[in-house]
Amino acid sequence: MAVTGVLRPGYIQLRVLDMGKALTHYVDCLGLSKVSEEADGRVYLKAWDEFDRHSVILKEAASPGFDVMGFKVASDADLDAFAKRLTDHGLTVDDVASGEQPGVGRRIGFMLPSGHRIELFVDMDMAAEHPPLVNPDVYPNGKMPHGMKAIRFDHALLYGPNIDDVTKIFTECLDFRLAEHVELDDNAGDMAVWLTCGMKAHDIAFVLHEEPGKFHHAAFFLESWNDIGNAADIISCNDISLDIGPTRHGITRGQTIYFFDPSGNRNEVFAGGYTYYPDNPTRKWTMDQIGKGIFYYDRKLNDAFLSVLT
Amino acid sequence: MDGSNQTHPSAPISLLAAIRQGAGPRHRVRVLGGGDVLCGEGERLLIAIERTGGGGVLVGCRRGGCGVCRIQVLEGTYETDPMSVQHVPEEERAEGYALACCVRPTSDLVVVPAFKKPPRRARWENTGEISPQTNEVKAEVKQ
Ligand code: FES
Ligand SMILES: [Fe+2]
Repeated sequence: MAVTGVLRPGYIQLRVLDMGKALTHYVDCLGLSKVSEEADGRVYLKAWDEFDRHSVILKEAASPGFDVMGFKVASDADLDAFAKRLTDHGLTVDDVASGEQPGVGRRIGFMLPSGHRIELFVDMDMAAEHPPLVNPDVYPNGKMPHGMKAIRFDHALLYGPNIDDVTKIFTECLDFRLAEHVELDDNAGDMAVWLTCGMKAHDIAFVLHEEPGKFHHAAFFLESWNDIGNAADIISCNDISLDIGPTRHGITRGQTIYFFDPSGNRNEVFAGGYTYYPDNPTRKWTMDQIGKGIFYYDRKLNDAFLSVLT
Repeated sequence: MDGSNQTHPSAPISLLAAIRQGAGPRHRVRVLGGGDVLCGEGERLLIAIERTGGGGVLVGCRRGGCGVCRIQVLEGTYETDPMSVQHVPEEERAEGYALACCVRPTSDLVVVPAFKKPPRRARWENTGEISPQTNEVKAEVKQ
């Protein structure tokens, strides 16, 4: 097995203003399915091609935004080793008991200096409805994906301060690699970083921002550029607030469209993007070319990309 | 005879003017520093501003989350959709603060843009107060 330690993104928890509207958006439009609604009000969702029980958790709150993102780790020994490395780095690591999220084993959590909570876990129950395992059909149980046909929760982009420290934590304590970055002028560190724990161009990304703990987007993977067009149709048909696209990123090369959920949390659905092999060198963008890096066709950055956050 | 540079008598009024006019009953909203916007009955103010190209208010998520469309209503009555308390705390709602994307005018209005900038040079301090039950994070922003 080549991918060890941190395997991949496991879940993201977002706050929403109105659960009913959020479910219409994430289930009917984006194409996730509802797994369960728990006594504490949290609602658990999954995408059709995921094996684990859930990948998106919604919580009703008075202000929308990001609560936590969890990564799946290969073994208990890895989890303990990561806890030690994070503690040695000076971070406070806490334990979350098994079962705090339904179907999920013990987790550890810590706060990044960007103001975002990250968790690691090893075990999650297999979903009742998972991709078939024997003579597998393309879709589970002959059920066609619906809406935008989101394949999986793929990555998140977060905004906050101390991005250089964040990169250190991910690369030195958790063995992520820096696939791509935007360098500030005059060796002042990074403006933005795209970090990967596997073979995707990114599993989590950060942009330098004054206010801590801000959320830019949660991204869901689609199969093709045609599916981005289908998503654009669904966005207009359902009066979903469009941000930008369909377009393409220079950074990661993903084909993409951005839009907002009914609470103003930004979503992305994308296809493509390059394969990142662990021996690939880091790719760099300079500040004068950042427009082309973010929006490869428009070749200019819009204000909303930098200032519209939850 | 070449009449190509004469205006056709039955030419419609300008498309832009028609878009600005909107349809159905409308409320006139004066955006101080921007201009006048005609907002349809039940239409959200930010959508009317965006539709008419009226200036002064920034467009973000259009869903009450990001706060860039924050305004203060100085005169008139309106209803609101759910909006983030981070950008409009309860006590400010009584003073007429609102997010334009969540404001549905029920009379003519006078409003002023009131975008709140995030604290400058904010520095994150981990207070260590984390509730794993809810994952609620207590942040302290130091200037
Ligand atoms: S545009 Fe985001 S709150 Fe109004
Ligand atoms: Fe993305």
